[in-house]
Amino acid sequence: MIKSLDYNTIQELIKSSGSEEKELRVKGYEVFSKVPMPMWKRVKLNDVHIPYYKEYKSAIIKNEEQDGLVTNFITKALMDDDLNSLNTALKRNFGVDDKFKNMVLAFYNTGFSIRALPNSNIKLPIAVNYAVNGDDDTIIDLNLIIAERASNMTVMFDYSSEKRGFHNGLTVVIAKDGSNVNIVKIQRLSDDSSNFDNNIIITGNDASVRWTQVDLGSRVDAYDITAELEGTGSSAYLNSIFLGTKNQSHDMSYKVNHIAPRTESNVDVKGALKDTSKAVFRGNLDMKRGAKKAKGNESEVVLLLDKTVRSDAIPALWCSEDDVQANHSASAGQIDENKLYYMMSRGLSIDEAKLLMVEASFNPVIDTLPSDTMRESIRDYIGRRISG
Amino acid sequence: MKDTLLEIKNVKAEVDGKEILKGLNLTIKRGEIHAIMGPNGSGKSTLCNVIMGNPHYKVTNGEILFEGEDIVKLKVNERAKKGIFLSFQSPEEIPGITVDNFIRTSLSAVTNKNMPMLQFAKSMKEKMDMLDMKPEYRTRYLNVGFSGGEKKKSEILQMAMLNPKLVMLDEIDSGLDIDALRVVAETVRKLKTDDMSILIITHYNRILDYLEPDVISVLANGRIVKEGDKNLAKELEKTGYESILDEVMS
Amino acid sequence: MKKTIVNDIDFSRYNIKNEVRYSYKTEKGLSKKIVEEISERKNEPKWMRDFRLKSLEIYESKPMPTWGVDLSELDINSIVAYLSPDTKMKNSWDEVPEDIRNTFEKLGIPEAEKKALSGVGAQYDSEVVYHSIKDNLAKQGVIFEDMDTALKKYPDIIKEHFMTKNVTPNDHKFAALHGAIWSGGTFVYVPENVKVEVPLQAYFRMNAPGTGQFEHTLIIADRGSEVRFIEGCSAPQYAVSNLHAGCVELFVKEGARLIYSTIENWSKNTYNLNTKRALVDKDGVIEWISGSFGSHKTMLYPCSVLRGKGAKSEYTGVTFAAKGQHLDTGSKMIHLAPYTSSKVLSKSISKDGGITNYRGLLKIGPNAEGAKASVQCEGLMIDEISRSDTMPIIEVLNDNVDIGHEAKVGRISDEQIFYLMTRGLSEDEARSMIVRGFVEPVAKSLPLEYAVELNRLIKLELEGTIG
Repeated sequence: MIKSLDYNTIQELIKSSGSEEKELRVKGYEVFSKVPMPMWKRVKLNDVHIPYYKEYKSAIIKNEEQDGLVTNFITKALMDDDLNSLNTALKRNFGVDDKFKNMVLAFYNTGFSIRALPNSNIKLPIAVNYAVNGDDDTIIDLNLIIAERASNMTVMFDYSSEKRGFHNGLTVVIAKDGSNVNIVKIQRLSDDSSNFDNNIIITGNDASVRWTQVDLGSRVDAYDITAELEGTGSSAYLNSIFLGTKNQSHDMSYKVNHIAPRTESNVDVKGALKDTSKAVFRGNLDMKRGAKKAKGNESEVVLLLDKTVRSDAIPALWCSEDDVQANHSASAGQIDENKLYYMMSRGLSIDEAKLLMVEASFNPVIDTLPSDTMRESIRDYIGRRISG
Repeated sequence: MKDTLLEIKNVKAEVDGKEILKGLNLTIKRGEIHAIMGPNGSGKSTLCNVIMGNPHYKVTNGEILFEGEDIVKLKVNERAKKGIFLSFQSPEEIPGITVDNFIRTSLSAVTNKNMPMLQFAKSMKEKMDMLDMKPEYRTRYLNVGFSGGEKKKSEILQMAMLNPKLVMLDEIDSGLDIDALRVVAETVRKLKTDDMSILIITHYNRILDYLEPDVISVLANGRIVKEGDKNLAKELEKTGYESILDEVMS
Repeated sequence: MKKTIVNDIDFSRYNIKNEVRYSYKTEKGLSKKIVEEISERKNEPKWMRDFRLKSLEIYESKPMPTWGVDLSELDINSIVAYLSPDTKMKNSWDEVPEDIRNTFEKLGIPEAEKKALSGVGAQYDSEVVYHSIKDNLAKQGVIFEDMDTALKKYPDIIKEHFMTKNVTPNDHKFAALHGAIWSGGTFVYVPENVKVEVPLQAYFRMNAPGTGQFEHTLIIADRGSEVRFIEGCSAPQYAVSNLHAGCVELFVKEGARLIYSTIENWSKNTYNLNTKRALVDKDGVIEWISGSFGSHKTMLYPCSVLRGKGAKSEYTGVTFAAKGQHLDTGSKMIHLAPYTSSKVLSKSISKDGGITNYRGLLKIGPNAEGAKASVQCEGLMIDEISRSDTMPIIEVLNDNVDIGHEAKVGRISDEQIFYLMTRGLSEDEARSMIVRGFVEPVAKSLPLEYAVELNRLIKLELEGTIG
């Protein structure tokens, strides 16, 4: 039976679930049903089909059994603690759009709650894979990552597919006082897939979050990462690479709100566009009053590989505190012809030289990925996309 | 008598619409060390770029024969594959690509085959030792943060690995202190085989003390105006370029 | 110990209030009747009257903009659209009524005319009261007229260019408003290859409270010509709102060069909602120099449409927002042709709760092969209760481009102040020096007199809050 994203489906989903889950889904549905489907100016959503509700059973988590680590399938049971943490996060303004954000809250069909206990040092990276697999082609994931006081952990998400799929997710990262969290998200869904992702980071005192976003796949792709730097001395470092080929559209939004004193952020986005692909980079660096001695940086560099690409950038900077340092920059252009000449003088063809320059731009980010096989497979994937 | 490796016939070339080479003729024999000397702005660097095929430099007339074949229409990388190598005066910095990665990529492009990892590592070590380069340079980004001397060494390392037939050293002596210059020049000499020709572009004589030229040509105003043996350099040092130019022009 | 900076001018220079004597004024607000009255009183041709009425329709059909500054307190219905001073236009200052002449004298206009200008137009409320051009320019065929006279003397040129192919009433609500009730302004035509070495100036003065000024500036710089145009604006401070919604249309023909400088110092009860645009042909150059100091709220984004191969634009702007001010300024650079280039340098200063916002658009079209563009924005915050925002939009539809954008914001560092104080400056002097240094790139592109004026304004704005 086909289940639309409607009230009947919600009723069915919450029939046997606990009060926490009921509360979450019903509230999410209220907003979802009221808000119209957005019409975006820059990235058109015409090709996106709103899916039916389906179960998704292909989620895989690895390295989940480590000392100091508690993980749960969020669809099995939503704990009281989890709901409280989610509600804290949901009060804030984040996400690509209310429609998509609330679609996840109402109709999530997979997801994990991952919690590092106080003072724990989670050594191995926790790997979460969401792949489109046979009939499992609709991924609506809700993830909650909580690093308790003075804990350390790395969580790696990998969204992949060989065939058309739909992904819309919501990830909340709460880094409590003195914790260090590494998040890696890799998106390599197939060329005809749709990808939406809503992310929020909230930091406690002296907490630090490092986020690496590798955004390569999908026909239509829109994501937002919002960082609320609430704890004094906390930091967020968001590094991203993106690649557009064929008729891909990427809409990437980064918001960093410096709320507390001595907070630090760096948003560093590097991309390459080929064929008729399109990219929109939205950077919002907001230095709120009271964020004394805060430092914020935002930069985007795009390599344009074909005449038919389109690259938009809106790197906004908001400042209502004088005792801060804030910079942003954006640039776009072809690969420096002197560099191409230099490489060709060493025997590389023009295409090989261009590929190498794209790799050169991406490598500093790829090098930080936590696994050798992951690094190799990403490099292969990029090489194939650019050459093919 | 050795055969001719490179023959330039009446080449005219321009940059941004301005003619720099004005009918240049030059022959380099296989295995020869050939120095081109001349005042600033005479067209020395242009000559290297024209031989290498820099698209910024436009050849409007003449032929460049490499092993008998006219290469004027060949792309830069095709010339590199034929065995032409240019050591740049100021090599480009490529952040994000390590020295190792770059040379491996380049080597497989030029030779059309992949050198086994171990053999590559061994070969790199050997050449880097010769150049007095620390092993950690292999994992550094190409030329990024390198001093002037380190950049020149990185160029010679690439030359050593690619084993070209014609090596052009464009002002290899600029920015090098005397010790580094000796190391670089001696390495080039050791690497030089009987089949390798070297074209040295220089303003000074220093490098010629370590790499003794068979032929010296003087380039002025876009043409070769005088040719001689190594003694010509000494003569130039004493009398300067003006006297030679006066002699040629009169 | 606090040193006082000695000011050589005081603000009263800008704050002269003359008795409002008028020969004619319209009712408050806006209606078909008022628009018809203005047109009739000016004895305009039918096409202009129709154009005004059409613009009014467009104005009424368009919503107020919801972005930029907050316009909710602007009540168009309490603004007098047209107020004609009790004098005809004169060609000699001696004939201008004494109080009006005194006002312009205090603003330094006749003095500057003698020393450094090729021609001057002075507008007082809705009408131009003085207009003059040096003989040698007139002989070379340079036209410099007030707009109403130009409409009568050169009807064909005006009909062809007036809000038809540059700015049009359809562009936005305030362009439509301007089309309906414009009055006064300047028309300049510089013939082929004529180089006007000394600048032309227009000075716009609002005297009456609760009025609007809607002057229209149209400049055509023909092939290979060169001209520099300066506009100055000021008004005395009143408790009720004034509205300025001028329109500037510039045509820069092949190989011509036009420098358009503005020093805007409207009183802090003025809404400044101005539209400025230049169409630039092959190898033409437009340079905008813009100093925004006054007004309560400003929305102003000079636009350069680079439509000919090799056309160039530069925008150099400084914006200074103090208490109660929200100045939303920026530039639009539209690259439509190959090898066009543009450069933006924006400096903004905010203090005492003032808000500055740089809002820009850089667009590189699909045919703009080899285009180059750079945007640089710097914000300086003098205290912790102000705001400095930057919102550039960059759209690139071509790969063969070289574009870059950079922005930073911050305050004067204690280390800088300390360093200057070790060299003997007081803290106030040190701050003042740093701010002057900050706006130097703008000051140096202005003619000397105006650079002095700019520094005076900065000193005025800084005084009193520092220390």
